[in-house]
Amino acid sequence: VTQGSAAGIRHHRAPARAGSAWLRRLLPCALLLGGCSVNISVAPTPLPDALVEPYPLRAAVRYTDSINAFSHEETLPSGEDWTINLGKSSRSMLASVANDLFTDVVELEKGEPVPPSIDLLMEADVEAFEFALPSQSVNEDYTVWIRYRIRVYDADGNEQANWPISAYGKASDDAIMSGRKTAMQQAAELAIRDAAVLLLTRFGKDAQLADNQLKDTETIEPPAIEAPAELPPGTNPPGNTSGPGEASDEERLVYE
Amino acid sequence: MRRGAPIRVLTAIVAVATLAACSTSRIDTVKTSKTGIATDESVVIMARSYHLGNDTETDFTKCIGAELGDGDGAFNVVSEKAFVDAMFPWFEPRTAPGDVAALPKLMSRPAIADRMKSTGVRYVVWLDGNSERTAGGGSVSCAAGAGGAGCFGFAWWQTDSNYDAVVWDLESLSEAGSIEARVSGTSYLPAIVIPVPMIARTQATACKDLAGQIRQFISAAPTTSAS
Repeated sequence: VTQGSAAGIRHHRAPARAGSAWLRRLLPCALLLGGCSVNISVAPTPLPDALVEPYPLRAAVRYTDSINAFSHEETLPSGEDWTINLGKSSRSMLASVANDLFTDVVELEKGEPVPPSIDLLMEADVEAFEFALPSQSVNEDYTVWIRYRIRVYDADGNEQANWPISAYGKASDDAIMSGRKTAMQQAAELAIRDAAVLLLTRFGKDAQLADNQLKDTETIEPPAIEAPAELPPGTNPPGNTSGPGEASDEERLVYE
Repeated sequence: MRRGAPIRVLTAIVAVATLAACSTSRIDTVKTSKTGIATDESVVIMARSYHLGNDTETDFTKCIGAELGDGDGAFNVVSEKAFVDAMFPWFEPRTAPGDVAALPKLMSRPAIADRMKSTGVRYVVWLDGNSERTAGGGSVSCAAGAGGAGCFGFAWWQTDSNYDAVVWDLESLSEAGSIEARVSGTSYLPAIVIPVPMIARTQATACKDLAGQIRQFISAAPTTSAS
């Protein structure tokens, strides 16, 4: 083991950047005095090909209304109206995940009959959506939580598993003017990607597939997730799902 | 006032600013195994997961990558996004190995090991830490009227930039060591009509110092510390 240590004093030229953080916060407020609305549309973002071995299953994926189009509207105590439209981004994520998870995938719209000879049917809903602004936390981050409800049915149409996944995304604003919208969009995209990661790495266990169908990668335990210290009051921490079944009180996303 | 006097005053203010905004820098290095990098090997700079409460600035991660990929002895630096996409979903904020002990199990999967090999990445450098204002005081008031505008007052604040870099060697699947950068600086904002900010750029200093030390660390040069 080698070690090194040193200390010193440095002098630095000082570019005129003072107050840029103040500007970031004050400019929107100054422009938005008297109330305003913020509209954000989250575009579907292609996911990379996943390094997972597909289950040798023929699966049907049924897209529900909330997966096809979900919009969250909220009026903050400051009077600002926020609308965050997930559009088809959840659908795009689910389609990508299904194609990585199964060797054969049939996509179904709502009400469309389930074809024979499938091994399972998967559908999902956006069950809860929350966000937090830097003014609600102790740092400069925009944060999004999305809870999806996943349901899996067997070939006979019986519910095999039903579980929630709580996905989480966080982003900071680097620009002065367009920072807020871009950061919130990015946080939402990261939350949707996080949902994909949860499905890809835990599907076999959560969907209660037979032991002989589980893959090697599902024995890789992700690191323990702790609640970031900056979660707004009343908001539950992001975390792994507890598996099939109803969400526990700890898992429910509560925002005050 | 004579012509040219304002320029001299401004020059004096800038000179004072240059002298006044200072920072203290400290780098500590612990090396636990031999390192070295071939020309066809790469380095990736990753921020520790925000799922674990880390809030290393994206700009800082990019700065370290840019410093390592530039100048004499530049490394091949794979961007964090390209690496995370290539390894999807195993180096995501939720799934990235939290400890080097998890690496062998992850890399025992042929598909994951093959993909890792194809990225050419030999070292993963995990960054942790942030820059934050730790103290401050004073005030500056500004006013505008028909006759003009101006500011008066004095404000100061201290910023601490504390970052840790942990280096994983993917060839030996072990931790090669760690480097800590601690930079503290005080900024001043005196205002007599015109505010003159004197900013201690602690984050930029931490980036430059840490990147320089990572370069020495990985290229197996003697581990003397920078300041």
